[in-house]
Amino acid sequence: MEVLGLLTRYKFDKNLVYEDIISKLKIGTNIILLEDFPLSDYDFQSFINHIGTSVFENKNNDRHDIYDVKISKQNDLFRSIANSNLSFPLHTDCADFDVIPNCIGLLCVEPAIQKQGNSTFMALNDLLKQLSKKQIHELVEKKWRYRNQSRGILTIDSGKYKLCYDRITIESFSKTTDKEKEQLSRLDSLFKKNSLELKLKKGELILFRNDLMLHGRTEIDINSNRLFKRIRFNIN
Amino acid sequence: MNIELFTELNFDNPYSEIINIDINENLSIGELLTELHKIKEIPTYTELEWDGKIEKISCRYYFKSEPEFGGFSSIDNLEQKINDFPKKGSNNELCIFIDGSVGLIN
Repeated sequence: MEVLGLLTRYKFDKNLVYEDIISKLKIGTNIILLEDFPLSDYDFQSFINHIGTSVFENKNNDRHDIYDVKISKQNDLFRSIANSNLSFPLHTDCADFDVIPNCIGLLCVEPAIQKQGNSTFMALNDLLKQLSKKQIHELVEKKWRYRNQSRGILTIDSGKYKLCYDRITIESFSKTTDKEKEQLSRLDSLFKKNSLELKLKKGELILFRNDLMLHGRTEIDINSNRLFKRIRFNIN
Repeated sequence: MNIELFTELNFDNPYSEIINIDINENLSIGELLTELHKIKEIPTYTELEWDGKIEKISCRYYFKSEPEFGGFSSIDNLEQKINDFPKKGSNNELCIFIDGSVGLIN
């Protein structure tokens, strides 16, 4: 294991201690990166089954819990934001779900070329250091619409802060005022200022907390073969 | 042919409707979906505000592949023939779910 800033690195092998990964994810401050991870859906799912409970969605591969994040169109339109080549700003996955999964695993099967398709992250801990008590209070109190859900960007759960933010959902499914747009833009700048960028290599798997970290992605060439496999799960 | 159509999967209050469409089942599922969009006036895309611009995201299409309520599989190939799909609706119709919500956007 090697710890570098926000990143804790492991080699994927038979000596891997699952409990160690579970406890790191429970703390939630770091991104876990496993090198030399096998590229099959079976191995990915089996691994996640050791550390948590994955979330099923109808759109997943073969009605299981893995989704292929790649450029994909239907009727000449992107199938989702994840399936586009556009940059994906820092966000929480499933911000409009009744229950938001608290972890995400992303396995790099085929990276984008050069500096494209880099993964971006911003940790809640780093954000809190930048905020005054008044600002934290405002982020807890002000509720934003995520389609059928109304949520603060910060919530307090068992005395600890949690984070939920997805500007695309907020702005696409509710009317925001100019003042609110300015607020969101200021937040985006702050998030970006505190973010880090990672270029994943083939066979690298990252695990991170969806409720304690925002994630995103830089732009990709429209003809890129970039393929990430994704599982959303709740930690055991 | 009769189609059982869902436009939302609400597990607490499931709602579908039966649509009758005069279509040759040797045609593609894409042509059937186009008809459903026309008849029910369902938009074929969702507009998302994204980085100050509006981007259009396609609806997602599913067919019922398992007997239980949420048992839908993704329709990935719009060229596939209608009669290739199983008829697992409430009265053994082809059961389609057209999803234009944001919940599955990312």
